Amino acid sequence: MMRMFRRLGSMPVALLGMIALLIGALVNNEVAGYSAWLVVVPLGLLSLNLLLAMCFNPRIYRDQALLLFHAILSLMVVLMALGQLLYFQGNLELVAGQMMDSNDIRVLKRGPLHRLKLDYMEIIQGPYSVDYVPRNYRQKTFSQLQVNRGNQTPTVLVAGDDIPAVINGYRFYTTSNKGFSTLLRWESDAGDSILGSINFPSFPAREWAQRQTWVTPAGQPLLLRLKTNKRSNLERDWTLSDKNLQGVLEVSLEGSALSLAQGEGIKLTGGRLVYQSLSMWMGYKISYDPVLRWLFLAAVFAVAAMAWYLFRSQTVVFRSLKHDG
Amino acid sequence: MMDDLYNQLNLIAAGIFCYLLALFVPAFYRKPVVTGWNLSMMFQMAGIGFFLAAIVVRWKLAGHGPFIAMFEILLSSTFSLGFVLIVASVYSAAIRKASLTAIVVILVLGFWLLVTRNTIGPLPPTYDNNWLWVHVAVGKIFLGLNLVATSLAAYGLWLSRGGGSQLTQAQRRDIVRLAWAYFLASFVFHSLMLIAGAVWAQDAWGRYWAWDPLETWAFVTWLAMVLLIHVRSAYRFREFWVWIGMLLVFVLAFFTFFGAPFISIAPHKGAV
Repeated sequence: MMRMFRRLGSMPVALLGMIALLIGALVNNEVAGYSAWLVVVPLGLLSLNLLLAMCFNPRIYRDQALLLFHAILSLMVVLMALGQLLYFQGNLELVAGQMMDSNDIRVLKRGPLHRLKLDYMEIIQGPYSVDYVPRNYRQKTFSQLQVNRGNQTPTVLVAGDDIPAVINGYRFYTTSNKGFSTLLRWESDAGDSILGSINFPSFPAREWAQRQTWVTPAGQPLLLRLKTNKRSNLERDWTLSDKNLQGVLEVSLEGSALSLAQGEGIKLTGGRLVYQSLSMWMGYKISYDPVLRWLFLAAVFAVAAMAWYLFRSQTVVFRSLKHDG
Repeated sequence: MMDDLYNQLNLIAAGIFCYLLALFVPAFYRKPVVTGWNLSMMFQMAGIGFFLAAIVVRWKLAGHGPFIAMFEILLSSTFSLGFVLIVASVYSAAIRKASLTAIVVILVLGFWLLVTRNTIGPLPPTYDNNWLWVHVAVGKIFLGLNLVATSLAAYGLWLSRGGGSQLTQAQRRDIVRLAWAYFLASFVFHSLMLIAGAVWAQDAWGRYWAWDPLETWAFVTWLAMVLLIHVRSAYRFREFWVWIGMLLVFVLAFFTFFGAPFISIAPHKGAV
């Protein structure tokens, strides 16, 4: 058994693992359709080899710097695996003034041990602005998120593309996906009233296609077109925000169309539709990885330990440079 | 605007001319001008000055650092590689002797610059991040140190094929040790580059690693260095094969820096 462990922790196995990982990474990246196992299996082999080498290779366990470096590398593998178990990634669209409902998050990746921790607080979308330079190149985004935690004073966080609003460990990043949203009220003939919002396609990416289909609770299909006073500008700098935002909602059904100003309504089959107000929505990318900070620290310490080992072994060479010059 | 672009190209051409002189002048004049400085180094220094001036002009025109277009990356690399080489040359006569390969690489980048599209674009919001500076800075130091190691490796290869018969055994051994020391130093900076890049990627795109082409090729380069370090420490290979290994690592690094980001449709650039 010990012999097998020694073999698994030997240098030839390490080299084999490295070559397999090198090939696996390249094939996985360059040839479509290959599995992530091409990377995962060599990584697993290398992790095992690393662990055993620390126990059985005297060159490693007798040298403090080398032992520290390999131990931190092992720790990093454990942290990365833990991160995969607890990881969460999702997308969300939030309308200004709207409180986030965690059920609206579209989950992209979720580790098996992840439990969503966003339910016991209120996250409300505030106003946002997006700067553009000519030819509609998007620059900085500033999006406000108000967070209410029970009895505590509400806090306002600002999220951008590059700077996340961190809420309970979840990192909220803005995306290029954002646009206008209409708040509609449906008043049924029976006297019920439902309030909801309809998000129109991303602006200005799909400025020419600000329309959306919707089926009323009574089952009548509608085509909604939005005409706002906001225009992109290909020639000069401009900012997208809800400042002085106004718009007309055109409701099309069965070949006829009717324009509604804010506050106006239209009688439809089974009820009445009221165009209550116009606001904006923002698309977010949400990620959660509790080991990020530890992984960063481990990586820095690993490089420090490696530098300690390498420079100690090369001190004579670098000292000789002074005489050589 | 057009005048500025024209001036910028003139500065680059002047820099290339200086490096051409630095390449050919040792064939005619080898004596030191002042202690630690020969005439080739003087021309290299002038070339670095011209490249730096071109970067300043570019920066003024674009309103941001040389991070985005191929033109900007080539320009900043001609400067950074030249700078690391000259600093290393000041400290070592062996590097001064072995700098031929490094000068040729800088010249290749310089000529490549002249035929690269010189367009100016705005800085994407994801690039406006302090970690990008750290990532780029340590990346440039890595490539510079690795170029010095490669230059020494190419020189060592020439020696192992029968060149430099006037060198003593001790001098030959020093070149081996020096090349390896620079290679190891570059490995440390490569590791730092990966860490800083991961932190930047986390802020820019909400993930620290996604195996995009540039990340994959950077990792492959790092892994090739790890492989070479382990092989050399565990087995007694002829130095010839170590030189070959170091040259191959530089080829990988060169492709990572100047090939991978621009041949794929979805490198870092695609995530803008």
